[in-house]
Amino acid sequence: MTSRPLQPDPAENDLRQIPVWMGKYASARKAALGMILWYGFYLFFCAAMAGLIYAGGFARRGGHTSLVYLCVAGLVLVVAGLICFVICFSIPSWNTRFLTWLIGKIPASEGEATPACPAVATQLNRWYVWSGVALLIGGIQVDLILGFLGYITPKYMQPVSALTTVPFLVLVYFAVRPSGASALILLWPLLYTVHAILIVCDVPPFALPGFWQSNAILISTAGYGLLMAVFMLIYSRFALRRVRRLARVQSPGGSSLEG
Amino acid sequence: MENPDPIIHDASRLRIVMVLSGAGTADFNFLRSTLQITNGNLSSHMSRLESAGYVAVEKSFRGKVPHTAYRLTKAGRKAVAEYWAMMDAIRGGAGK
Repeated sequence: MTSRPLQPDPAENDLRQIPVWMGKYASARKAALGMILWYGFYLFFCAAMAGLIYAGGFARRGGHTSLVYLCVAGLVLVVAGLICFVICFSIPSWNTRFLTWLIGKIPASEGEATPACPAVATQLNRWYVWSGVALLIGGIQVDLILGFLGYITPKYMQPVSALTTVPFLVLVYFAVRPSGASALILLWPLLYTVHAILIVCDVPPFALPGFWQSNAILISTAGYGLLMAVFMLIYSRFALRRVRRLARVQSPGGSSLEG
Repeated sequence: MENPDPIIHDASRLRIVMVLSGAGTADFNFLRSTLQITNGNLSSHMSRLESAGYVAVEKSFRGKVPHTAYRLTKAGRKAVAEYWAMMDAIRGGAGK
């Protein structure tokens, strides 16, 4: 008599896939909502900085010294606010608490599910946060200032900013990873890098007229961030459909087989 | 031969723990809409899982609306792992 194991039951394989797709749904949804929040705040801060820098440049050219100082003071406050936001958002426990509160405010017909936290935040994650903050200060902000003061041509502001923005975004991902953030977040620095390469190769993905050319950084940052958030929301809906298909109780009338 | 854990070895409860094993927490509405079972049915299953120590319950309020979230405990995760190990063993030993 031959002995061979029974073939795996396809229904059992479906059940084993549930945690996989459940994790993808929860992490993609959380990341999408987090990125939309990030996008909104970042856009606000960058718009405030751009406005202050533009006003400062205008005041400097017009010789209004007190207005220049006022703009610089405002810029310092806005940068400080942005740094505080980045820190709060990048510390996994604060991130999780804030996003849990936010997710609770957003009605979801399917109910709520949070991703499993794969690890506890360590000192290394905090190092990621501080490194990212340092890059943020030394990178895109200086780039914006130099750009508006005319030291970098508007065309190359985005590629120059990519030198610090891309590592910053990657560091933020590693900082929030313990709270169950999806790896799809890395699409954002990937798109930002591709955009920079295309500009350097003289094949810009989109042409902006006049004033808007100087704001290419804001548009590419916010735009790719929003695009990535939308993609992750769509992916989370796809993952939820898979979970539902795999987890639906198959017995007649939806009743369970009581044990 | 040992029998599978009767708490886990149930069509609905097995799916419940599999959903919870892929998430940090899931609330009552999510489990109900995902599994497409009735409120009463789900409450009954969650009570059994909680009594067995496999699921932890977190009750809160969102404004004036009660909110109940569930999390798989360490004992629950261990029970699920042992369940599948037993099923694999049964499947591998069958036919001898």
